[in-house]
Amino acid sequence: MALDIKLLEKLTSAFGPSGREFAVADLVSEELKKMKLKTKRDVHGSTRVTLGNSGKKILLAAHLDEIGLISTYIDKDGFIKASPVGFVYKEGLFGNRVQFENGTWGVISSEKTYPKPEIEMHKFFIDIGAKNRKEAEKLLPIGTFGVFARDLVKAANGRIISKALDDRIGVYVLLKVIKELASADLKDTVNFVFTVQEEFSGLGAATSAFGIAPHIAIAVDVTDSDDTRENMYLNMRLDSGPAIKIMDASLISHPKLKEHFISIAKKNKIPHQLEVLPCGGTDAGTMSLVKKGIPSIGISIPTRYIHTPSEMISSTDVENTIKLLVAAVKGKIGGAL
Amino acid sequence: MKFAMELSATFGPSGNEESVSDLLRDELEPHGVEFKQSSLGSLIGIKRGKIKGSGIILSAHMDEVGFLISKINKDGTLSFRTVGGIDSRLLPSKAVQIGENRLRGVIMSPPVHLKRGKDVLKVKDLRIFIGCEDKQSAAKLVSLGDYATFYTVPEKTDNGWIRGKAWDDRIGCFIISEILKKDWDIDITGVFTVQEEVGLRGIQSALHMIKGDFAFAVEGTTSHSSPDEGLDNSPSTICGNGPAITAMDRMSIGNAGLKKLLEEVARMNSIPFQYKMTATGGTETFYLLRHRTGIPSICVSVPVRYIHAPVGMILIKDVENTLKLLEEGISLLQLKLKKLYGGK
Repeated sequence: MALDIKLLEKLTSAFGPSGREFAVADLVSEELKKMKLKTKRDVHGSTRVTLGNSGKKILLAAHLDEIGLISTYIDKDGFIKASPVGFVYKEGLFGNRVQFENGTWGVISSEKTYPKPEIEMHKFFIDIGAKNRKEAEKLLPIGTFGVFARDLVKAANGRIISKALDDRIGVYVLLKVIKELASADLKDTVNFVFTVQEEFSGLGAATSAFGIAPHIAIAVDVTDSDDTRENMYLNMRLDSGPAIKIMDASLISHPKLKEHFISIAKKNKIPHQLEVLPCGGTDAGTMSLVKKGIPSIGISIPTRYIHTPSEMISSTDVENTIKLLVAAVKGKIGGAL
Repeated sequence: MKFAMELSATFGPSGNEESVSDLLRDELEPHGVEFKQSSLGSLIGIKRGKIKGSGIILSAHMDEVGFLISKINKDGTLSFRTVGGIDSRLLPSKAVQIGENRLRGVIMSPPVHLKRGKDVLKVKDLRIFIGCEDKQSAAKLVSLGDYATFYTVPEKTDNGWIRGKAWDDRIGCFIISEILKKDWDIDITGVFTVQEEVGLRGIQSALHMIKGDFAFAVEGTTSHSSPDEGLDNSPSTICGNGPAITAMDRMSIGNAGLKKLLEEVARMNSIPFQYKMTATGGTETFYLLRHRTGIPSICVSVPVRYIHAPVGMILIKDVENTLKLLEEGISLLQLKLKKLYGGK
């Protein structure tokens, strides 16, 4: 099963910072419509499809949104000041292109560039080509959302470089898992939820988990691949398969779910690795705290250069993540607890 | 604006909002508003419409920033801590009112000949002077743990401003009260919350007692207040430019649909408005958005010069335009909800 580059490219190039995920949600609904599946969208835009109608309620989440910027101020010369939407490395802003929700484009520079750019958020500005404040106000009202634009490219060894692989690759994985399972005889009721605002506040995961009240929640997201350093600090590396999350800053995965995924991977000879991430969190952490508490786990795709406009993943990791999730859901995951 | 000024003058630091909720209750009771109160003290006022359904939630917080008396010193002065975010630069020689009896005091300021090298005093080094010169006489008037606020008598200026304390968020309480006084076809639920300034606490429990299909947080927010335009730094909002719509703050992203609705309503009715030009701070919008399966919510604010300070200034026309924007917004949402609820 080779990577469907066309679909992934459509997903990563779609505009979708936290709070403005409409285009990505529409793409997901379109893809599911091709599989004759109907989606539901909640008040905030989280999009959901359900397979099976027996056993335990399972929630599988991947988030639609990506990190971005929001315009906050226009100075008298028509330059734009902005605030980050989600966690943005300010060191990487200089020279980046920004695509805004209303079609305006801009480039990021700094008030001082030589000998090196000043890396404080308030020293950065976005040049949208406007000549003065009045013109800029028309092109880009305050409060307009933007993303760091960058094309998807193929690198060596089946590796992909693109913006927003966090978490469009998770969205891609769930779409493929749904396709595999659409006609399967499932022993559980499996809700696939494409959530909003994971990068910002976890809003979509919180409200979706409340509405569904699942017995088990799983977030499919990216994790840091730490294999570019001489002395690795984290365990995760590219090409070593999906990472079964043990812990991050927002969650300690339910031990029985962890064991379940490890045994499924072993039984099906799917390469896998274990993830301990000292910082960062995913929708799984948010979902675990909803209502009376929901046993949760994260399944992660190892990714290099996360939260930059050029994140890198490996195609084989993606294929193995799909295999692991398909096997886990088919294997009556509701019985894991 | 008389009621807005009464609200401003009322004593209500976080955790001590009873006087504000009593005032709101007395004002709104004659207008057929039904009341509930959360166990933490948030006041919920519901104006029933003839069409049954969840309706619209409006939230504003009753509490203001203030002080807590932490020590009665030998010399009769009072040490204190701040409740909520107060800039210590603002404190010396300001009038305060303390405790149940609203005892007046002044925050001490060192005389000018002793000031060298001590530009900004820390809160722990400041004292409140209540005219007592020994511990015993001070202890008769004040107890440890007494709350205090700035003491400011609100006044109108001749050119359209009102001076006063606690516009954050008594001006929100005022606007919601004005909306609840009117009759609506659907239920309008006003939530007047406690303890917002110390971490958005009141709204979390109050939400469990109410329902709504849309929500607006109504706030007083920071505004341009420096004469130095040359700096070209973000002023956050500008007094006189109308209600400020928050696209995003540190904790929440205003619902895109409601943002568009407010923009359209403002244009249709020629109501001036502005976007908040900073993405900092947090409001009750965060909890409204993520309550249960989610409520589409957004924050609308009145710009306040000198917020969290002894005297803030607001423009009456900004208050009127904020009220108008919300009322027109609610009217439009009401049409949509009436269809949803099956009314005619």
